[in-house]
Amino acid sequence: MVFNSLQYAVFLPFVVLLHWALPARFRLALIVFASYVFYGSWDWRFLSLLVISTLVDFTVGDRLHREVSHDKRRLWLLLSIVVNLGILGAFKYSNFFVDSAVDLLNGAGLGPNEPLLRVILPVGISFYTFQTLSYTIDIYRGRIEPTKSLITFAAYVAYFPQLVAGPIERAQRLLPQLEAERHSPDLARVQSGVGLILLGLVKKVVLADTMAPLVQTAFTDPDSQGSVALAVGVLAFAVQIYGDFSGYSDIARGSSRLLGIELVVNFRQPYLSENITDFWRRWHISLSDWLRDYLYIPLGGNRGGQVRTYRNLMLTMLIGGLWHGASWNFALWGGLHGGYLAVHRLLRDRVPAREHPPMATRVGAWAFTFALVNLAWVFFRADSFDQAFSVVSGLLAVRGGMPPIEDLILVLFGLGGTALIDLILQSRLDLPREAVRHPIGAGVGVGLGLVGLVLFSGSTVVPFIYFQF
Amino acid sequence: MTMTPDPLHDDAAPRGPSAVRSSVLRLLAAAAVVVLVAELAARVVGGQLAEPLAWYDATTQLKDGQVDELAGTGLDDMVIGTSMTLRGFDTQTYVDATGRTAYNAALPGAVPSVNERWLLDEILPRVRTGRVILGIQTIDFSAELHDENLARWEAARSTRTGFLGSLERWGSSVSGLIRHRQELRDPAAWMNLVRDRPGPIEDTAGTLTDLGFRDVYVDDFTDFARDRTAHELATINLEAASEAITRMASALEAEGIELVLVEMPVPQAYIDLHLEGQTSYDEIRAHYRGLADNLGIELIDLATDWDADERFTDYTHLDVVGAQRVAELVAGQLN
Repeated sequence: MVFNSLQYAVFLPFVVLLHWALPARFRLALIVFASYVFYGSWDWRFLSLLVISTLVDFTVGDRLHREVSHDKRRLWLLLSIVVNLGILGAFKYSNFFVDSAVDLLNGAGLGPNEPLLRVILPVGISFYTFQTLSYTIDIYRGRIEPTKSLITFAAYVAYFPQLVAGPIERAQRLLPQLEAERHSPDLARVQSGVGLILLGLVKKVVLADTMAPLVQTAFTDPDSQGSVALAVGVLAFAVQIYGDFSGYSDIARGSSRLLGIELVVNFRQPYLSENITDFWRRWHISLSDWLRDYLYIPLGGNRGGQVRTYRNLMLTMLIGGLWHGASWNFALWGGLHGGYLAVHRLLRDRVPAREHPPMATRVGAWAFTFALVNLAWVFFRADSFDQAFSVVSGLLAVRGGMPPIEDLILVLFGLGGTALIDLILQSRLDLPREAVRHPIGAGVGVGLGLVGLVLFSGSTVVPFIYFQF
Repeated sequence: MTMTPDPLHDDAAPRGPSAVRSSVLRLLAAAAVVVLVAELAARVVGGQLAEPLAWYDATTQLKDGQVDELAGTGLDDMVIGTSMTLRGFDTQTYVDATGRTAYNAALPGAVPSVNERWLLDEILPRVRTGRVILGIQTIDFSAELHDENLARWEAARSTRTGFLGSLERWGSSVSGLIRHRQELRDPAAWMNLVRDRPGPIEDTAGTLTDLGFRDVYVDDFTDFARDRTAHELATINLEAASEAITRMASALEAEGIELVLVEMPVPQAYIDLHLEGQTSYDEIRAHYRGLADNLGIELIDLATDWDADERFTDYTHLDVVGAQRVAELVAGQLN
């Protein structure tokens, strides 16, 4: 069941209405049940993984809180880490080893039956694994107390609006909201929740899905494409991945708001960033924060001198890349960003920034940052190392041959639409509040969004890209 | 533990339920006005753009109209297949040679899973026929063509099934926005309007006769055509196509309609595009020949002894002389 499907259009209102119709004491049970139905609609067998994660981390959280022995507490935490990362590794990274083993066996002339060895990836496993891990680590660090209710914890692990593609919520934000007695939302909150869902759908259906064929064309056979066509494909992917993922996050936040629970903001107009550090404060914020708090800082952060800081940045981003999947492409994508961050930090330390730089400098910095991000996207999107290098070499070789004018129009539409939405969001900051203040303007926006959805829907449903992670 | 600040309530926001209700009503009214204006604009502009494509492709849309014209009549033979058959089987030659009535209903990219839907759901309910001639080649077993083209068939307005399909058809009957949306969102349709060029359906009508295609093709042994065909042949799914053929055979048998497979001729350049060249080609052929045997279906082999590669305009399509020769050979075998 994906957010842009008919099933979800029926499922969400049903769950929301039932949620507020039920007495407060049954609401969490409904959320857990609905979340399990939502997740089970992909493959009910993988519900067992959710249940295992829930039971293990609930038990570990309780033990960590009660245990006074430092060594025993470490052992309990280790158990949580081993179980969670073990499940993640078995399902997410085993195919990488299978591929390597198949290559090896094929090389030896043994030719194993590859499909029999393949492991299916449960959707969203990286997201809920990180979420549950943060719970036990935070209890271990004494930052939070464990919840006493298994049903509350089950809701925290499986909460359907953010279960399969985030945002990765922290226990200290989400658990209190789940435990608190929530009052049915007023009209303003319903309006803002529905507005967020509409915005997310527009980003997904109108922008991201429209770019998909352009991306496919450029990346399928990059050697036969001219440089402009490849640039169109890469820019289209920048729009696609952002519209797809931030659209998902908006729908998640809107859906959750209807249930009276606020989810963390996951994107803050990242393509408007004027440097790469700023980009990572705006892109997939919940993952960046997670990596910062549970990886970068424990590695030493910026406390051990410049070299160690750069090493920590690089390691964090490499692991962030590999979080998306075991492939050299993701590793290089993460490595590139690690390198960008390290270089930016180096320059920032050596060249003091002006407080109010001139507009031309800001535009140049923005364009350079956007270009770097796009270069890295090539490795993220390509199916293989070879394909990625074909795209990059095609871009740099300045090969002739223009794409159809229609493709140029479409990518300009995608870039323009994305820029328009982000500039409005950046300037207004809080659209839900503005919608309440200026209903006519908001109505025009809603009307345009609905028209866009009508115009750009009607074909097959395109799954969200981040579901595969 | 800290609670999230409430982003929705501040001093400037309307206070009280009635103020909020009024605000929401104004919002909805403004949205409705925008939608209505867009609907009016779509009706005006949509009429100037290309004819809405409601089928799998322009050829199918035109052939649907031709099938409508044939509705109620009976035909001796109905020819189906991919564009290999559409361009490679000259129906008039066949009609002249056999004295039977026939119609070439083959569609571009119509691998067996697409033909199954086209024949069983769309043609046979409208046109009676005594025999179905299915052109076949190894490319019919391409997994990529199966996946992409069946998805395209199932996404087309006229053939989309389920609640969403019904909703789409109802929506297009009442709303210009929905009826013309494919053209309104397509820059090519706007460019055609600006350049005063025909849309895809009008353009296809220029090449599609009532029985097949006119001889208007240009040589297309380009790198792009080679790579595309090789790509399609690189992914083979024997199961999906075989199951579709089996289901078609079973349904036709139940209706008392004969099914004949015609193995279409191909040039050596096509055979070489298979993943392992001749070996892969022979394996796939052996598979569908075995399938025809198992199903008790006659298979006419035009591929083995074909000696006129010069009649191909690209890796898969014959010119009109080649198409006439195929029709003569089939007529000779079936007579």
